[in-house]
Amino acid sequence: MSLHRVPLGADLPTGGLRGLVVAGRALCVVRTDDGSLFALDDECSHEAESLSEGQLLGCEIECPWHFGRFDVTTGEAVALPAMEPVRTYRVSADGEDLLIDVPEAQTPP
Amino acid sequence: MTTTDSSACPYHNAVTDPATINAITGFRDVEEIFRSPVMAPFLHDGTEDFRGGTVRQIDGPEHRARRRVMGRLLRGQGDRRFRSEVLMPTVERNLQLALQAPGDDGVPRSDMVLFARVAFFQLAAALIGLDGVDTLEDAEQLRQAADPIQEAMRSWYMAGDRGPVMARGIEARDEFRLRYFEPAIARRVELVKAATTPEAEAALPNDLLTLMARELDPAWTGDEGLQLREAVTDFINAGTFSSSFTLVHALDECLTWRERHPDGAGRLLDGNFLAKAVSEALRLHPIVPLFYRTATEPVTLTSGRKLSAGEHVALDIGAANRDRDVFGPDADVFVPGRTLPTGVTPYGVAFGAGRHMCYGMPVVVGGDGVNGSHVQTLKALFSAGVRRDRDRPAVRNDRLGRMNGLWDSYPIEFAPSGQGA
Repeated sequence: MSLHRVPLGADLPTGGLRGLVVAGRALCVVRTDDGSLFALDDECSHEAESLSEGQLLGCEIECPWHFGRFDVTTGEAVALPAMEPVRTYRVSADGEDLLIDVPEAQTPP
Repeated sequence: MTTTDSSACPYHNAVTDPATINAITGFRDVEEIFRSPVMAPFLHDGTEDFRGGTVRQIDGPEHRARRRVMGRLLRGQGDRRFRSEVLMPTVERNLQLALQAPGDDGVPRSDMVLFARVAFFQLAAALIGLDGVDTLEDAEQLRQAADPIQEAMRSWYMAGDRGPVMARGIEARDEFRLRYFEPAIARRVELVKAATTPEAEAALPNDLLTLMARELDPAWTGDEGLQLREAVTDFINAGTFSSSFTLVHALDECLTWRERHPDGAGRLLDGNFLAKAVSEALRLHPIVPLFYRTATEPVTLTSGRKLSAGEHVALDIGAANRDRDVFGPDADVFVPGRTLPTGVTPYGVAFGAGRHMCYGMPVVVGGDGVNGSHVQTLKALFSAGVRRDRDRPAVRNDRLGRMNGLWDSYPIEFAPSGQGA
């Protein structure tokens, strides 16, 4: 487990999403309408566009370029043209901060 | 590769000799080229007057930004709204008109080509933001006004002198501009000026001309010619032509399938089965047969094929979608629900792929692949007992060379009692 603290809580309202970089990875963090937090790779598996520029629809995030959608709870692709899942990461709140479990990027030998 | 005959027409040889453009026919190569960041769109057919500078022809950051702006129309499952508020009510109205006016023999009739085109013209008008296109008659008038424009944009596939066709298309577009485009955008400019609060801005119409009036894309702003080309190319042309003819193909394939599987007729009322059928029809009958790309730098595809910088290629969608290495030995056969390799969409590259993937795909297919326009329309038709007109055969349009998936008419009739499938 590699927990990273991100002071973001107040800047992530309910129903909102934000893009950020944690441990060298571009992530999209989401707070759904019920206040639950989720984190996933900030890259649509269809065309590598930024999901954090898209829209949160319930528990699904919609890519703004070609409208592929992903379930934020599982990363599963739920709407064409997205077909491949995106990776998700464990995230929790600690006060106003987020704690996101992101493995450190492997450095090539 | 077959193209138009050589002639003195100023448009015909406007670009590189077609004989020098290599056709790419393998599915994997075609898909990879679509997705490659170094393969740029190439306008091969001398239609800069219609397509120049539009979202399909630009690339790089400009394309990305334009696409993002245009995405506002369909974001948040906007495809559902346009289907439910515009397209399907038009389909239902059309259908009821036919069912309520049977012939002397008690059989309701219609023509699928007209049926589909009117519906998609109604949708295109709503997406663009054209005022005064509220009834079926309005949509039919728009279709007639746009016909010469669409002919001009397809004229590259015709034999003979394109000059008169292109001239008539430009004239028709000017008429469209005066009658539909300018009044609509002027009204939207006023609406945008008056929207001085966030609430008022949120209440603005959700259509292309409002996006333009809001000056959300710098290339559009102040360039009415580009605004007009964008509306015509993407929505009037692409949004109605391919959409309607792929729907006719889907119906045609389903009717043939029913003849061969009489015991399975009930499946044609099942949305999940229809979704598979629509995807197969899209795969087998891509209306636009070729897409053109230029290598902006040397490229070696995964297959080993090399393209040199500046080389033009023609992506043969029909051939790619029947690639037996991908779709199996029966790739030429209509098989709803065929097994596919991982990552291959059931419609193949009918909508292209990558960053330039057809903007209207979500409308036609639906995000879930089940509730798109074609499935919903077919369901309505089969529920009304649609079948081919036994007395009037369909008439193919053979005037457009390689663009050979078209009909002039496709007469249909419905079961007198409206019995399904």
